[in-house]
Amino acid sequence: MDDVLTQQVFSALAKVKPGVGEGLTAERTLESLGLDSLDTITLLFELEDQVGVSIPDEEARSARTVGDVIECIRRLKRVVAAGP
Amino acid sequence: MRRVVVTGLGCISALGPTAREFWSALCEGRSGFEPLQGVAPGSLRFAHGAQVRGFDPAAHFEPRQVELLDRFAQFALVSAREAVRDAGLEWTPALKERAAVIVGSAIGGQGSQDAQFVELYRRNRDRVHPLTIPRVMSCAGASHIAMELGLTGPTFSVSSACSSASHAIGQALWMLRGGQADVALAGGSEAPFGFGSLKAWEAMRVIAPDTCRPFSRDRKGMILGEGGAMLVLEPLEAARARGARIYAELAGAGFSADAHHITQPAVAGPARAMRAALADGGLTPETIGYVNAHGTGTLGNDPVEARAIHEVFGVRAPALATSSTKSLHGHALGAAGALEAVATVLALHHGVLPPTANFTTPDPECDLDVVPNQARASRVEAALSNSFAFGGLNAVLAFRAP
Repeated sequence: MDDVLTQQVFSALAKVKPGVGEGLTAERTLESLGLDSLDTITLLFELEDQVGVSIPDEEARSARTVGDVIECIRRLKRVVAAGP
Repeated sequence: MRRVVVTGLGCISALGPTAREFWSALCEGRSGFEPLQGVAPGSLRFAHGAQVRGFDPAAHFEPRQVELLDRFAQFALVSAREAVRDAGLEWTPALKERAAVIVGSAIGGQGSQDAQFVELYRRNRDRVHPLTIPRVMSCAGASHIAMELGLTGPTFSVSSACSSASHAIGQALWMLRGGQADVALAGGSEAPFGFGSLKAWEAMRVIAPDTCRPFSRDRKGMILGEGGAMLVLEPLEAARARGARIYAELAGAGFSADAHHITQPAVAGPARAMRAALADGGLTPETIGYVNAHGTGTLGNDPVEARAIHEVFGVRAPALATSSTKSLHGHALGAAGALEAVATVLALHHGVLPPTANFTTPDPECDLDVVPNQARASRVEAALSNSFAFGGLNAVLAFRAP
């Protein structure tokens, strides 16, 4: 488990949706945390900046849980690290 | 109560520089989507737009005028000229004083602002062009139409994002009915293809990477469009008295706000706007044979709009012809309602319903007759044109065959 990345996602979530810190787990869906579409695109925007990846719309759309977001970024980071 | 009719149409869009070409493309299901011009490949997550191609400002305006006009105002003027020509209006001094010009635009001359501020922020120049303010202001389209034609009645711009033009046309209807004007030029124009604006749309994650498939299960979003469209509106008796060709009656308009969310659509607001337009036009739901949908092709809009149509039309909804012409001319934002009003008026006039293009698979959540892929010959009594904007601002126009 990439704890740094998980913590990054958790803290970005807390910034977009203050008060979600309590009981936050990777299994929680974004919807159950009260994120609407604007909150979600803002979250992804913050994370793209912090992590240095660009999340395609298709992947953004299929991310339902916090864990999906973490996994998606992890995958994209590997692609970036592997180089062109 | 004065009845108001449409006697002139003008339209410049990705489908061509005139209303005639716009209509032919709609009927043939020929889309205006092309690879974006002036954007470096790979610099955006999407690659297509419905841009007005081959538009040479010098062919329409004097050099000094070109300097004064942002692209959005150029589209406003070009479409207004066509609409006035098409209506065959004879301008008398008295009529000019009683002429309203009401023009929608969501972002006005943002392209000019972008270009000038690049000088400031990136090239470190310490000044911007003195014509920046008159180019950027959202009322520039309306003002230039008034100046060119010498029209001195009520003139202003309307800005309500993607409902701007429908609000403008509805407002013009009410001013004509109320006797504040005796003729109106109403519509909208937009030119949203500046790189900054494209980046902002990219960040919204609502633009399709490939094409726009409204109401289709595999839809992935909208395709941006640009252009301008204008309607000449007159009281029925005035149009009859001068022997004008009457395309359709603008029977009613209905406006509402969702008061719900700044970008997410809702069912209740659009449904209320449709009902209000019917009531304003003295129409029952049974008289409506065609709906030109807002139909952006986004995951969010289409099922919500379908539910709103079901609320208003009940058991008739699944069989009610409802197409999104945005699948052909793109989403022209503040001009969208005007382009779609032209499509709706011509659908009534010609007895042909334009299709929803690029349709592949029905979505059970959008249970409508979307007139898939092929225009349909059908004479209908009346039609609605829906515009539902970000900000939860809804404007619906009701047209009746003459």
